[in-house]
Order: sequence, then structure tokens, then C-alpha cells
Amino acid sequence: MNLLSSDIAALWLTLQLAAVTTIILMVIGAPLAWWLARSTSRFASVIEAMVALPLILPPTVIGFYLLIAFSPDNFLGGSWLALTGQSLAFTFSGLVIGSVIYSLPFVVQPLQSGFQSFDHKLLEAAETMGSGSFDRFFNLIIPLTRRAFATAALLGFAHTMGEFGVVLMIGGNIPGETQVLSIALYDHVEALDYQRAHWLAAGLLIFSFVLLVFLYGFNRNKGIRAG
Amino acid sequence: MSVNLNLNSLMDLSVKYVPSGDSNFSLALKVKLPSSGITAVYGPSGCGKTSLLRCIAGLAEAEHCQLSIGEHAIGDLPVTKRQLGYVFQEDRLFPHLSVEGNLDFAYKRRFSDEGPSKHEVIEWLDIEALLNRKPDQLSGGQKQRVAIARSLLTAPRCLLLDEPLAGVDSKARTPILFHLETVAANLDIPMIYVSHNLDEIIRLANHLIIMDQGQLVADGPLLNMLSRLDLELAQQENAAVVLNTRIAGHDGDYSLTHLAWGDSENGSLIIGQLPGAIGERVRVRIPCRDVSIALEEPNQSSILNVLPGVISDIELVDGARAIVKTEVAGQSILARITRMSLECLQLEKGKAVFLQIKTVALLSEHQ
Amino acid sequence: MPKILIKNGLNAGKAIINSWASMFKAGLKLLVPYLVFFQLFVAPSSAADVSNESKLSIATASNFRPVLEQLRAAFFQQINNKEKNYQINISSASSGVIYAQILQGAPFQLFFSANTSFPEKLVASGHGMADTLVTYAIGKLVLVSRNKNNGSGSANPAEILFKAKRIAIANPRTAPYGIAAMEVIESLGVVDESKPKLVVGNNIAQAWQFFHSGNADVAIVAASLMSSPGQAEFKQEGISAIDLSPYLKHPVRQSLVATKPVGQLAQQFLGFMKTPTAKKIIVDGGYLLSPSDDYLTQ
Repeated sequence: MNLLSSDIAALWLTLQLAAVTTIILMVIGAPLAWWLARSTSRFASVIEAMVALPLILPPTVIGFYLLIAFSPDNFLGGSWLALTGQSLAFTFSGLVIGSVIYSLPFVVQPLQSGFQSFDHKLLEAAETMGSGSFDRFFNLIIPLTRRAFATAALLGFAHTMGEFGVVLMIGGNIPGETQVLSIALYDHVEALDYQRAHWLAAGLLIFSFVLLVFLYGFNRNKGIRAG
Repeated sequence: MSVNLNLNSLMDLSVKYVPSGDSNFSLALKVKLPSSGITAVYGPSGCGKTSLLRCIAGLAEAEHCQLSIGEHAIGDLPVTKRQLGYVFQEDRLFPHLSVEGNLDFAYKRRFSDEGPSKHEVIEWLDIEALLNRKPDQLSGGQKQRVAIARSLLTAPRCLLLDEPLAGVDSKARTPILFHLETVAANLDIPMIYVSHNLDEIIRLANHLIIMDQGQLVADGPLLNMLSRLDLELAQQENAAVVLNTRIAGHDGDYSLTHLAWGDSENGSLIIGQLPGAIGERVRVRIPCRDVSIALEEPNQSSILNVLPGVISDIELVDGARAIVKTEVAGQSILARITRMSLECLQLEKGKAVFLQIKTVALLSEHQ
Repeated sequence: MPKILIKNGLNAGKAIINSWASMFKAGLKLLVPYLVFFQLFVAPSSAADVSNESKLSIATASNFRPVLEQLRAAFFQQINNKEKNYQINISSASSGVIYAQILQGAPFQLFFSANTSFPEKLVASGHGMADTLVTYAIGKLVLVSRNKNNGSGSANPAEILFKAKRIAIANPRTAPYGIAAMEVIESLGVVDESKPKLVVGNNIAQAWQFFHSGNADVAIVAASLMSSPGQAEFKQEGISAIDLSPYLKHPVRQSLVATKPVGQLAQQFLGFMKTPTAKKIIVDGGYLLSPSDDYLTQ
């Protein structure tokens, strides 16, 4: 067993990336999913398609365009540089932006599905009782769509843990900064260091599996149906 | 309950509504209703009763909806500020909360402190035993009781009920009607009760609005409306009239009670023994099909209730039947008879006849 | 709880296997007649015949691919392949990946590696034919930077590296050009200043992409990249390339080896590699030829 410090750094970095990405996605994703679930405008299907794109696009496509966008000569990279003095490519912040795009559908879609199957009649009843929008959201919708929230958070987290293609394109493979677990694993394979590769691969596999077992178990137990 | 309209305590209701999808239907109503007691809204399905309620609550976007309850005008207020209680046809209880949780949800958001307390509401609806249960563990009737209780805890200025008993099986309905009467007796707010069930309306309401195709057909105190022959009300299968009476005496030997009204010589009924003091008010319901007409006072008959009266109106229902309205000591009683009898007996307005009443139903255990 | 889990798992497994089995049986019913028809009437002659006689598969390190494609075209011209009787398939990947695949039995007949150690290993393991091992090209390492960043137009690599914000190189752990890049940085004496600024691409192509997109202001890549067809226009964009060969003690020797058994077409192609035509293509592609290897410089 040769867990060198760079592997541990990779693990820690990956966990951080997954956590930060998931939090950002839950905050952005919930209102977006709510709007998508309720909207009747034709514009909604365009947004839905945009959200779903990362599901079918090769991550390398996302990474490719991100690399261009991050360039200091272009708008995104340039303004970030002006604001923070840092570049976006090869940094943790850049990875976060990439991960948010990459894992977006994994968070928005379960939430949207949960909101859609939510019985809106309950909301009417609450409205007549004087319950405003925020009140209804926090005290009615969230408790009754717990499963959707759990699924969204766990899928978003697990998916980001396994991110590879996007990071490969924009990360620069810097240990402690952008060398996530999947990149470290790839490195070991390239260097023919299969033993270390095994440790990382098996570890990631088991971790993901346990996470999913936990998620599906939770969802089965909490058989809360809204309405 | 007062039969007369007290003009000081009336509310003006005015609603205009055209649903966005359906251009065939439009609702336009202008009516006055009493500001306390139960006003029923009756009509065939599709006549707009539910839309009316939803407009009042603000759940449907009306072109124009005005109602003033005291100084509280709901006019252009958003739903959350109208301070109305709404009981839906489905219970709409929150599945993730217990019964008590549902009640607390409402109570925490109450519009004022002048409403009933949790304890009172639990008592009126008899839901003490259900407090710890979850909605999916309740029967239909129990769920609606909880729903009614919940809607009261926000201290609404007016309670709207949209066919609350439609989804409840018939056995469970009667107790809920009783609970609703208790609520109406204890709260001084107006209640608007939509239903297509005449029995429920007769039992609960003291004012009636009849609608058809989005328009007002007739409105007025229940007792008056029931005995009008120009309305389709009187032609329903379960048509009945309601009489206001008082207890005149008890017959211990035969376990009977005498009721009376008006000059009490002609206006009297005998029913099974009731608890209650002399003079206590009792409302009774007399189904039209259980009243028959005789030209002479029948002497030897098992029917106890035979009342003299004068025919005030006659209406043909269809080829075979007719309804005859008779005034007895100041109140009207309807009888449904065959057209053949009508002609054989040569019944006409102004004729003095005798009514034989087979069934007298009590409207409530107490009043 | 574990017992129930196992029982449920077994039941689920049985159910899945049953459904697959029934699908399989159904598929077979369709498939068998098709296979029979195919074998009798449609199938070409067996694979063994094809690979030795008229089909050659080559695996190459990605950086050599453009040149190899040009070599293939010239080879076909030379043997007059107008009828397209002969086929050469080229797969590219990183040398390490190809090496691992060949060990696992991948059917590549020629392996153009970006280094020499992989072909040597293949000979040692018995996969590779010893007398086919030869250095076919030597990589030319260059330091690329944009003139606008370079202010004074300095031609001093150490100074350029010193001033750079981000230096893109190939992975020094896995890519021969990355190893070479690190060697140059060390011999220039700027390791400590450079290390924190390094961004590592998977290979020189990715290092080049980092530079090209503007995210890295400096890159150490192979000259062959700048010669590849797609990059010609960028020569005008004010990019200067400084040859790093003087600072490289161990040049990047790219060697090839043929896997056993060596087919006829493979022999022919190897023969072609010795011709002046082939040599010119390689040099034009941005590589150097091995001076110590008489074989190729004849």
C-alpha cells in the first residue's frame, strides 16, 4: 500500500471540489428547477435543453470551450483576472466553474422531477392560510420533496467526484490545486504504476457505490409522497 | 336563527370572471348575503359555484371581485391577505405533518388573535383522538374534519366551503354536518357553503343563493326559497320545507313532544319525544312527498299530524305531478301530489284543505 | 439485515439473469440464420489472410501522427496503390498506453513510440522483433512564447522562463517530451522559480493547447507541433520559438519496433522508412534525424 501524499492531496481536493460544486448547484439549481417545473413559457424548453446538454456532450467539449473562455484575452477570463488578479484556467475556481456546468443536470433534473410531482393543490391550501412564497417553499415544498433534494445533492456530489474530461482540459494537473482523483489515477496508468492506480480506482469505485446505496436506501425509507 | 333579513348585517358580493381557457363560460354575480350564519350556494354542476368561491378566495383571477366583511374589503388583495378560510373538496392536508402539525401550521399563521383557540376547534370537530396521527392514517370523514378545523385556526373573517362532503361516504356525513352546525353556532363569521346536495343545504343553511350557467337565479332566506314554487328547488326529488317551531309541551305517557308556531291552534306538530324546555326553538323539515291533501279532516287515521290550511299556490311539475303550497298559521308547507288528485279534488288557490304529514324530520338535536 | 440483503440480492440477480437469458434466446433465433447466411455468402476471407498480405495496423505516439500519415501517403504512391488493395490503419495514443495495450495483445504490427524504452521493453518481453528496433526520429524541443509578452524580444530561454506566469509542459512523469522539458528547466537552473508556475498537459498537444488558448503564456513543446498542417497560420501571430536542443543532454529519441510475427507489408513499410523521400518528410515535419544511426542517414 503506497498512499503517497499526492494521492491523499488528490482525494482531499476532489472532496472539496465536489462539496463546493454541490453547494453552489443546490443554491442555483433549486430555483431554476422550480421555475422549469412550473413554467408554461416556450422559453422553458430552451432552458431545459441547455441544462441537459452536459448529459450528452462529451466532457472534453465543455472543457475545450471553457479553456477558450478562460483565456485572459476573452471576456470571462479577462474579467476574472481584472477582478481577482488570478487566472481561471489551472485553478480551483476554474474547476468549480467547470464542475458546476458539468454536474448541472444531475442536480437540476431530480429537483425538477420532484417539484413536478408535487401536488400543487397543497400550495393553494397553504396560500389561503396566509402562507407566502418563501414560507411555502421552505415549510411545505422542501419537506415534501426531501427525496428529490437528497438525490440531487448526492448525485451532484458523486458525479463531480468522478469528473475527468473537463478537468483534463482545463486543470493543468497541478498537485494540490487541480490534480483531482481521476486525473491522478490516469497519471498512474500512464506511468504504468498500476498498483497505485488500483488503490485509487478501487477506492473511488467503492466510495461511489456506498454513496449510491445510501441514497437509494434513504429514498426507499422516506416514502413521503406529496399529496 | 332569524328568518328576517337584518339589513344592517348584510355583505355585498360582486364577482365577474371569465376563465382564460373556456370562452363559453362566464360568471357574473351581484348579491347580498348575511354577515353571519351559513349561506349556501346551490346549482347544477358546471354552474360556476366552485368558480365563485375561488374568485372570492383569489385563487381564480376574476376580472372584478368585491366583498366587504365589516371594514375588511377583500377587493384587490392577494390570496394570502384576504383572511378567508377555505375548505376544499379534497382534504389537502399536509402529508408530512401529523394532524396536530397541520393545525399548528394554520395556527402559527393566524390573521388575528380573535379566532377560536386550538382547544375549542378540537372540541367542536371532535378530533382530539386523531391529533397524533398522520393524514394517511385517517378516513375521508376524519380528514375533512381536520381540514375544517385547520381552516378555522387562522381566524378567518369568512369561511368558504366547497362541497366539503362530496368525497365523504354518506355514513360519515351526518356527524360532520353536526360539527359544522356547532361551528356555525359558536363563530360569528359568515360561512359560504357550496353544494349540490339539497339535504345538506336544508340542514345547514339559513340563506340560499341559486346559480345556473354563471348567473344568479334567485337568492333569499332558506325558508322562503324552499317554499317558492317558481324555483326548480321545489321540484327536486328530496324537496322539503323547513318550519321554525317551538316546543309547546311534552307528553310523557306516549313519549311525544308537541311543537307549535304562529297561533299554535292550527300550527302544531307532534313528534317523538325531544329533550328540551318549553319555548325552546326547534327547526323541522317536512319532505314534500310525505305530505298529502284531504278536503275533509280525516277522523280515523294513524297519522297524527293533520293541519288545516289554505292553498296559496299550485304548480304543475310534469305530466303526472303537481306541487301544492298551503299556508298553515303563517308558514308554508308544500305537498307533492298527482295531477289526477289535483283535478279530482278540484284543488285551487284559496281553497281550505287539510294536510296530512307523514314525516317530520328534525333538523338538529338542539337549537 | 445482511441476510435479507443477500437474499434480496440473489433474487434480484436471478431475475436479471432470467430476463437476459430469455432475451438472449430470442436474439439467437434471429441471429443464427443471419450468421449462416453471412458466413456462406458474404464474409470475406479469414482475418489471418488479410492482416499479413494487404492490411497493416500501426500504432503511433500522437505527436508523430501527422508525419506518419504523410509517410503513408508517400508509401502508397511509391508502391502504386491506386487499386487500394493495400490498407494501412493508423491509431494514435500516448506511448505508454500503446505499450500497455500491446502487452495485452493488441494487434498492432508496428509501434512508433515517442521514446526508446518502450520498444526496448517490448523486445525484452518477446513481443517485439529485435532487429526491427530503430530510432526513426529525434524530437526537437522548443520554447514558445508570444512576442507581445516577451517585451524585449529576448532570446534567452532562462529569462523567458523566469518572467513567465504560466509554463505549459507535457507530463514529466509519463510523456517523453515532458521528461525532456524538465531536464531543460533543470539545466537552465530555473527549477525553483519554474515549478510553481508549471501547468502540466497530458502530452505536448495539450501543453500546446494551453498556450494557444492564451491561458499559458509560455510552453515547452516539440517543434513538430508547429509544423503540423493546422498550426501553420500561427507562425504569423507573433509566436517565437527558441530551439532548446543545446540545453538537452538526452535528446528525445523516438524509436519504432515491429511486433512478431512481422508481416510482408510491414517489412515493405520499414524499407520505405529508409528512403530519402521518407527522411525528407520526417525532417519537414519538425524532427531531427539520428546522426549516430547510420541506418537512417544513408
